[in-house]
Amino acid sequence: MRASSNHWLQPLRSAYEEPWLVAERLRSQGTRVVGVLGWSVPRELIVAAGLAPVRLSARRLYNKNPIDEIGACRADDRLARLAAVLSPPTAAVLQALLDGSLGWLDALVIGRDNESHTRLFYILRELAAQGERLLPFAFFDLLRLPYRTSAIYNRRQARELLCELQGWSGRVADAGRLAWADAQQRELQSALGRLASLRGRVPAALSGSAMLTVAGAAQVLPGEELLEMLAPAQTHDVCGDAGGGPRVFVSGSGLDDLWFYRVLEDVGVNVVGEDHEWGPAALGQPSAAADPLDSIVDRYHYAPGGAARAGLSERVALTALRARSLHADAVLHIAFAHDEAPKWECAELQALLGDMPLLRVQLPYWERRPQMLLDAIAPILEGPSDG
Amino acid sequence: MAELAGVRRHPELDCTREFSRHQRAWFEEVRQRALDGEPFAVLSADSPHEIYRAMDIPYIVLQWWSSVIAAKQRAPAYLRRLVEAGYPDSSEQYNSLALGELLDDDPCSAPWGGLPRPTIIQASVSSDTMRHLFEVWAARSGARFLALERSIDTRICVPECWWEELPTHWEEFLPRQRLDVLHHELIGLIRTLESTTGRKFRETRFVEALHLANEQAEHNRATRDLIARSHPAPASIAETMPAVMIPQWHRGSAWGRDAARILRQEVEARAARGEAACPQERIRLMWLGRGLWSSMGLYQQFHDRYGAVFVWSMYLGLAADGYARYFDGRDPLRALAARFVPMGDELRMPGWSSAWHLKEARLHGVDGVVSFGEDDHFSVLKLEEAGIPVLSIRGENVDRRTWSEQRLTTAIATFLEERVIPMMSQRRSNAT
Repeated sequence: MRASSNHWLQPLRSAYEEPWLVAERLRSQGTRVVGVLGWSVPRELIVAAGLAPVRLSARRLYNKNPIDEIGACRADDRLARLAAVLSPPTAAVLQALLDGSLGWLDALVIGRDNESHTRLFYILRELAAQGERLLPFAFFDLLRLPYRTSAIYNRRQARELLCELQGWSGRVADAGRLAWADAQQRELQSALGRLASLRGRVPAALSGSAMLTVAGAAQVLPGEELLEMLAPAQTHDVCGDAGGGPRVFVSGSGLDDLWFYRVLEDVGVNVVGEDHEWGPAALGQPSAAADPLDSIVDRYHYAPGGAARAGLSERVALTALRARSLHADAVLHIAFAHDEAPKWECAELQALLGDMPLLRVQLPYWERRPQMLLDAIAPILEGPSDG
Repeated sequence: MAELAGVRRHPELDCTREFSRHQRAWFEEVRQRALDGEPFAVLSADSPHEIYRAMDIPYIVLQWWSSVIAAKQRAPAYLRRLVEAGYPDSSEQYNSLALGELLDDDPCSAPWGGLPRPTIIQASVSSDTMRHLFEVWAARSGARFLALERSIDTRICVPECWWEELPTHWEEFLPRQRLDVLHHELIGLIRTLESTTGRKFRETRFVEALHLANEQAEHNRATRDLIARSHPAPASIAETMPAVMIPQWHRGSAWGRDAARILRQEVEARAARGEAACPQERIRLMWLGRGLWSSMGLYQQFHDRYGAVFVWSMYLGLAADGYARYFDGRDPLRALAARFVPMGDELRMPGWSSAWHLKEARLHGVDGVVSFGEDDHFSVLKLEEAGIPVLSIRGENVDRRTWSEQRLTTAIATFLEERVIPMMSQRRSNAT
């Protein structure tokens, strides 16, 4: 693995890799922590209600080997039956909820990133009705068609969620707190955008794995802490841990692990951008509105987000545009086997990319198979790079 | 490569043959209207057909057409075309066959001369990939994709007895924001259709369509109740599935209402004469999940050897309980929204579906349940707790790579022998 000399990155990596430590610290300081499943839950609402949002990744639910946990899950007949209708990462969250491994959370909000999340919500609701002891939980039903009717619905959903969150925290999220949380989110997005532009330079001034670490840590750490940690990277051009090899834009499933980028970086590939929901651009460009609730809800409604439930033409057009503007040598399309939505994008994306190669690989969610990734990118490693 | 042949069903009712004949002639008429340049829509089952009917825009229902493709054994070839064009064939098979047919571009081998190119396609975005699939289909066919939202019931406590409350108390029973979003979308849809097709929305015709749909649901309810209480059952699902669903796709028309009445009358007459799908009926079964349209005779395979009859499928069940919406003095368009807001929830939202499955199983005196391709955990729990054994099978109804007649027949026979019959014997000995 390429070693990073960026000291500013170390605490961010720690937050990214061990979110439970962040949660435990916050709880010891008296702040209640809300687990967030998905990119589509407005974190700003949670912050405004005086709670701390920590986004969950199936790979970082607790300090154990998740693959062992899934094996244990399969050994339990009830869990196996419930998990059969869930994607592997969502099944892991269910497993962790039921075996008490998420004791470092005070509550959970599930976002409608995909219908596996919806099914998880249904399962939890049924289990709760049957008397199962669970964390307090809620579901945020973000509609994604780009229409006013959907926008109005989303606002009503946001107000309902806010009521629930205030009940959990015992604090009122008034207009002032909403405006503050909204402004902080915009500031965070701007900071991520500045780092992303460093990564996008030719040659790249920041590695893809460093960028993904920061974007992931931004989903875990309180905003003010994160902004403070990012200050050195914003003021000094000290991020030079990227190489000068081929430039790749990553498309497809949400990659919630640095492993993928590191495998690529180890053979000299630079990940210069991505369109998946763990990347820094998942929420698009920061924008403000007179009413902070409008600003917050529309940010998620119109976000690029992930492939599931998204519009195809808009997404592939944006991906192609970004890949070109970042001078990528190729688009690497990584789809998890269970994740059907990105697979629908390949034909249209290839048509828009023209001569730029679209390299495709389908991977199982849990198993790490570096050779499959390396085989996929072999065409650009073998030939000369224009970057 | 030769396609697999399905098991043909033995006719039980006269009306089904008549309905099938009508459907073929009706499709030819729709096809001709489309070829003549009229607007032509392909609608998902969860689209508001009644609006198209009120505007006299010819339409067909995508899932019905998929069932025709499956019945004509063309599904495997169309799935292959998807893969060849760079699309997955592992999701939304029920909804993607028409796109496969378009890519196949061979009207000679397509069922009934093939689906005309639609000018409008419509679906609610009810899965991770529906929007992608329909956008691809629209781009490749030249149709306009009119998407509708699919909202979720986010309440932590959801009342169960939807089949009792929805027909009349839909306004109070459904969350207001869910009704509002679809109601407002339907207003926008009508405007879009008016401006893009030049057709006019006739309020009188629309209200009439809603009344006719309610009457159709009433006939279906009577048919369902009759089959539920008749031992032996006058018809099996091999017959009621097509006999209910062909008229269902004409919902809101006088023909649809009358066809449901004819089905009811024929079932009533058979029950009165003591005629049955299986006169030696000993076991009553429930089929949870989508129908095996390419092999309808499979449902009748257990009559002779076991006296086992599939008496329930979701098709007649939902036609009886899921569609009626009465709107006396209320906005009929909102009543239509109330029909489609929960569509799918009745079948697959665990709190609702499991309660309904148990209610229907008890109503029909069911001895065993075969669940095919369903998210059925909570239904299985409830049914098994009530002493009704369940066989769960993974599979996708129009994708023959996921099932075969032989495997299904063996699995069901084993289930009957090892679980259903022993439990029935146990019950009988307990009773004596």
